[in-house]
Amino acid sequence: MGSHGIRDRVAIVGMGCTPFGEHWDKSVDDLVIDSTTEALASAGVAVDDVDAFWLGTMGSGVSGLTLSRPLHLDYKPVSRLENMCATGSEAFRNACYAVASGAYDTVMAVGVEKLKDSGFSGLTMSPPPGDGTAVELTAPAMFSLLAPAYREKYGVDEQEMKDVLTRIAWKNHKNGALNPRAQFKREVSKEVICNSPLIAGQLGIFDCSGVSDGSAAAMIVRAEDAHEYTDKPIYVKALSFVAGPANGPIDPEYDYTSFEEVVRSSQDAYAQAGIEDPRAELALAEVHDCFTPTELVLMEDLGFAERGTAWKEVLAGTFDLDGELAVNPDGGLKSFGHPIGASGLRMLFECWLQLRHEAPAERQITNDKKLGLTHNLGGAPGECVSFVSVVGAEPSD
Amino acid sequence: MEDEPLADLEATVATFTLDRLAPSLNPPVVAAVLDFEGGGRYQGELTDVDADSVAIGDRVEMTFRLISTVNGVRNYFWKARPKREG
Amino acid sequence: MSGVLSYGTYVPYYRLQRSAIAAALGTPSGKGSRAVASSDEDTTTMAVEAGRVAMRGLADGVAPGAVYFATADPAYLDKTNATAIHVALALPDDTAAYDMVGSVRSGVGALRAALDAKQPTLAVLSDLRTGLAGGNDERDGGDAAAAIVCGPGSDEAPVLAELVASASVTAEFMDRWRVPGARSSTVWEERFGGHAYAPLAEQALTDALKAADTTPDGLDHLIVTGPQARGVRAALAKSGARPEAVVDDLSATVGNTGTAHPGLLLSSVLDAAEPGALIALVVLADGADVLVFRATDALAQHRASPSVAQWIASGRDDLDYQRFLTWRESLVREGPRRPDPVSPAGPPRCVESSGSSGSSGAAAPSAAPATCRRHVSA
Repeated sequence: MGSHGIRDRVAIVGMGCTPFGEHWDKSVDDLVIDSTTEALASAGVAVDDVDAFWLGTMGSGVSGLTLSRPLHLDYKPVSRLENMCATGSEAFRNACYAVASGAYDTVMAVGVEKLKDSGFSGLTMSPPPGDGTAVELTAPAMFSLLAPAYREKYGVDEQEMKDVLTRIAWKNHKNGALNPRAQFKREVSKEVICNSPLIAGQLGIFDCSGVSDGSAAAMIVRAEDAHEYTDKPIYVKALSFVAGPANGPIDPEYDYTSFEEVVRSSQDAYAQAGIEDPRAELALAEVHDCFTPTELVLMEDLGFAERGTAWKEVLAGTFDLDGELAVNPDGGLKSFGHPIGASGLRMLFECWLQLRHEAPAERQITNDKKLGLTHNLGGAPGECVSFVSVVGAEPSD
Repeated sequence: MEDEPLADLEATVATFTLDRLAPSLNPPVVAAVLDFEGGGRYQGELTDVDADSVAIGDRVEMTFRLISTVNGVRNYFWKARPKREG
Repeated sequence: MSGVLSYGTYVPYYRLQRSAIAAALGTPSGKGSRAVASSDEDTTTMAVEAGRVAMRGLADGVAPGAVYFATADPAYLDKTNATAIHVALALPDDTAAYDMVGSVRSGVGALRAALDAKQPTLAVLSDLRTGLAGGNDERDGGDAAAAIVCGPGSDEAPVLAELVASASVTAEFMDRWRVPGARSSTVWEERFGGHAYAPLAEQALTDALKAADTTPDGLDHLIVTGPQARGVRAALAKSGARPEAVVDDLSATVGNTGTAHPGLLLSSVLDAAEPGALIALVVLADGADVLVFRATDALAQHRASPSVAQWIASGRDDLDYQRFLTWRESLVREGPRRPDPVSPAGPPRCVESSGSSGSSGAAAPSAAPATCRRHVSA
């Protein structure tokens, strides 16, 4: 496979992230100004010194003008990208490649979404005109298809599955309670989670990620220039992105207990980064917990647990903040919130804080591991896009 | 890829969900992944069904229904119902 | 010899007990239950379901030359509704499809037109009967469809019930009407209807039985149906038929399905009639129509499955009245905070229904089920 990666060729030297949540008093312009101002300050760079920009937003604006207008950019290149819920990661990936190619010296990836202004519950999309035969399920319904299939395949009974899903939500809320930027900054008891109103299948309202407004941004430069900006750059070890053939809904071989797109993108990323045992080598993983069954299945697809065992590992606390591998130490989509275009960069922001030991003390991971993983998914089981990055605090030997 | 008529074949529920968020005059929307006898898969709605009784492995047959009616435009397509007669 | 070549019916799954209406509104309770189309059904979808049963009963290779769709509650005006039935039944594109919509009488009209055709012709009768809450039409109506393929018999498609005679009387008077777009019909005083229909029924039945060279007591099965209950009762009382020949009108189990009812009741007779049985179908709607059939030896081998009785037995009768009102949009309830579903767009729909196999239309009767495709991996 001709995926060579750009290991250690570029580095993140500054990041910004707004609080996520209901920003009734802020516009999209305000949010991108906030996140980019923080990222620029963190890298000690003026906006005029940034050569090019990549803006990820699913629906809060079109074209590069969405960024150039509020930032008063001086005729700079701005790309606007969309790749469903992996939009923010896609902005980051393309920005990294632009630096690695030598085309630019200093670039910025920005993600933004303002979902609350729609007035709708959950996520909405406007599909292109069609023949009417596409099945229009809501996002929680599509991801809830995973739960009965997983139960059937691995012999997990309904109550056990409810306990597993509840524990994932409980864990992410517990982590989010330690995060001042999170949408839901409080712990929620398992009893409340488990008895919350049903939304789709077994999923209650607390099994769903937060509908949110927010923005995040990253400054990226060549690795050899990184120390001009910061003493603690975060190196990009791997970037992998795949779009599946989207045939799950018509392929009887697909069993709704896995995302092949995630398996492929993680394997590619591990190869780029030289990772052999992700569970042992990663300090943390920020994964796409859009709904609780998604996080369960991701633990297996990302190679953190053997097939059919993630549910037991979840119950055993393997992925807790103080567990063997902390998953979503910042609260994840569940608790931090999921402003689509910003989420991929928000995941990187947690790696930035954790690997630089700048996270709030109560959630700072204290092991000596130097690698962090982000995983971002767009679409639905059987028809999705998947992004995996690995970033690290040190260049490789 | 070639066209094969499936409307008169039976299918089995591979997985399913109840969508309580989707607008419907008859909530919840019951959605299922269906595997047809002889091969072929379709992800669609179940109808004329007791939402709380759906299970993996249920046998269903196809029925011609309205998927939605918006601004007077009727979107006709196929759904599945539990196999009941005969 | 011309007559019925195949038939099929559809009765929706849900039944509303008349006592449920009474309990909700505090009105006197009627007996039995009525069939209710679900929120995802209309006269077109029910017609397709009945049509699928009728087409299954027809030998492979026998395609109707035309489809006549009759309903008093069409999904669309201006646009033909029979074309959706045509494509869903995967009929060849040289099978014509026409609507006969708007009035209850169009049901028996479609049947007569099919019987007159020189080639196999599908008459599909479908209706969804709803009136104002607590009213007679809501209580006594029902939703169902019947599909009957008629035409001259052949070796592969023998006649199951031969048309022996027919008669028709037309009269213009105001006993029931609905303005286009209105939710309910207006009915003149019941006693007037009884007065108006009795002589029309007598005249048409007398003419038909004379043409069939028989007498009322020679009938094995007599169906009298129409939206005017008092007129129907008066016609039955004057018919002279043996009491045991009078066919159950399904009012206790399905309700009066209006345009569909002549087809539904004829089908219920065909489900059980002995060879040689003489069947008279009398339809009282803006006049009187009588069709007299004689069951043939072929009928026993070609009865519809499911039968009308099987459809009735397979339903559930615990639909609550609030849900019924919601389905009929008489009770407008607040939904989730979600956008409306997206309507299909004209041009993409057209691309899909022409089939993707690239074969020229006539030989490719796969268009509709093609929207329900088997994936064959390349």
